[in-house]
Amino acid sequence: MKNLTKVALGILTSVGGYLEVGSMGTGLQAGAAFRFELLWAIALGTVCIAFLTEMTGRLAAVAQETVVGAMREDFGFSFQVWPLATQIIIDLLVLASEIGGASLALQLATGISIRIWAIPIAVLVWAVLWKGTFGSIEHGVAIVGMITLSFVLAAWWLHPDWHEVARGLVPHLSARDGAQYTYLAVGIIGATVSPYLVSFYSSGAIEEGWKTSDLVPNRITAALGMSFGSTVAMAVVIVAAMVLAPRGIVADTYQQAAVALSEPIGRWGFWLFCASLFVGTIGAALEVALDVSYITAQTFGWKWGEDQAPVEEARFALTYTFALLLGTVPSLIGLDPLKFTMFSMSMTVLALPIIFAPLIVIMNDKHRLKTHTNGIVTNVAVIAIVLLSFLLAVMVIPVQVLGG
Amino acid sequence: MVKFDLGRDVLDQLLLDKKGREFGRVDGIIVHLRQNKPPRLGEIEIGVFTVLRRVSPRIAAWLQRVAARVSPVSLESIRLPFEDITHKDIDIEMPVDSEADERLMRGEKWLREHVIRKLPGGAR
Repeated sequence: MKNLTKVALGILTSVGGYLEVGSMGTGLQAGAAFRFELLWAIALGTVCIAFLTEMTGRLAAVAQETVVGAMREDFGFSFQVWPLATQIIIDLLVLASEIGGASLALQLATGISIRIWAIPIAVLVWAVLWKGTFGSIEHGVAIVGMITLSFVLAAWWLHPDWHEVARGLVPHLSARDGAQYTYLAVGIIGATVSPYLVSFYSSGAIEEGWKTSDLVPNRITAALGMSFGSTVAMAVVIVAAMVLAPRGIVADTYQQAAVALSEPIGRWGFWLFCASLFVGTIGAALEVALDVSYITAQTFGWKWGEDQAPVEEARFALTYTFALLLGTVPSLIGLDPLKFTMFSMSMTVLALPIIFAPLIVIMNDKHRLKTHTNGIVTNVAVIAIVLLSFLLAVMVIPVQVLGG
Repeated sequence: MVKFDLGRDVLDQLLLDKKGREFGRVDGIIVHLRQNKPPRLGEIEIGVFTVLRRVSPRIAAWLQRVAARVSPVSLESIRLPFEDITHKDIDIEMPVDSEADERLMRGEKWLREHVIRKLPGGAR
């Protein structure tokens, strides 16, 4: 049972990677435009993020250290200020996207404008962080997040050609519209392999007090948590391929995509779509807002931890408060959430190398990890991920111009 | 004789008080240069402007001037004797009480009293 509760950390983390507004948006567009052809991008992102979370969970369990803390100690502040500043900017952009996404879900459901919803959404997220504990947030999101399994159910009911689905899992180029295909592939991987997942997961493992004895549960959590998110993300693509593509719906707005669940599930489908979008974005907003506080506090050596009352760690609590205030601005001034999300994802991809490259050093530091440093497989994996992140960073601006 | 690698074992390491509570990081190290004698490690320095100075002295000086005008609490760096350092695993323990010592965590304590306690649920 104790290990089962650890899996909740994996599910909460994966909500921020797979079920947030950017991932759902790119998934719907990918399915609508290329049917199952881009499933491989989700699979590749899943392998990357599972390796990264396992490594950072191991760092937390063995050394009681987070990635951010280790980065400052190993590389010094003069280096760390750059990944820190980059990650704070990305987190704020993603947080703004999630607030926009949750507001959009409520706009779809009620017809009331996003601008009206942005502040209530930010207050809701703030109140949960202000009053909640890490455990209550983790388990709450993991349980409520199950509503997104409605996409999996819908994908199953739609009876896709599973051979074609399996072919989509093999990386390949598309014969049609190569620019948009590449753009969506980069977007899917960028939305999945998000830097905040890595810092959040290692912070969560410290919050839960993981020890060296938790290394096996850490592996299971990393694998199961990311598999949960990955399964739902693939189901989103399959549903879009089966419902939107035949109707010629390109899903470049959520309003168009909202019919995706209506065919397989009926009139409840629309409400489940809105609820899934709302739950995924609120879960991601909780995760990203907390991440801003985590990385800032860990860099400067402040007290941190969601389990303590705000009065015990004023700077930690006020950091996520300000982040949420800033996060409402794009929705309040009327920026389109999906377009803003695509911009955020591009920025995320640009920042991947500077955030992931230090892991090669940190995860091989015997001083800190003793006998639990990376082995051959994990070192090959982290080097491959860093190389992939460099490639994506180089590609992201051209593909956005050509295919976005 | 205790041997330190200052860059690896001291600078940027997490500081814990005598009750094991985090109260900052080693943002700088003060070395005293002496005539005809080897340099002596004097103090560790803790403070946001000390650490920012390592990135850009000009920006740090400008921010320090702004903070001196607008901040309701002093954000000046503080120094603690280097000789008081003891290592606890990879962290550094100092014989201070971070809650009782008024020099430490001044910003945190000011925000706690003047902002957080005034917001509903701040103390849960």
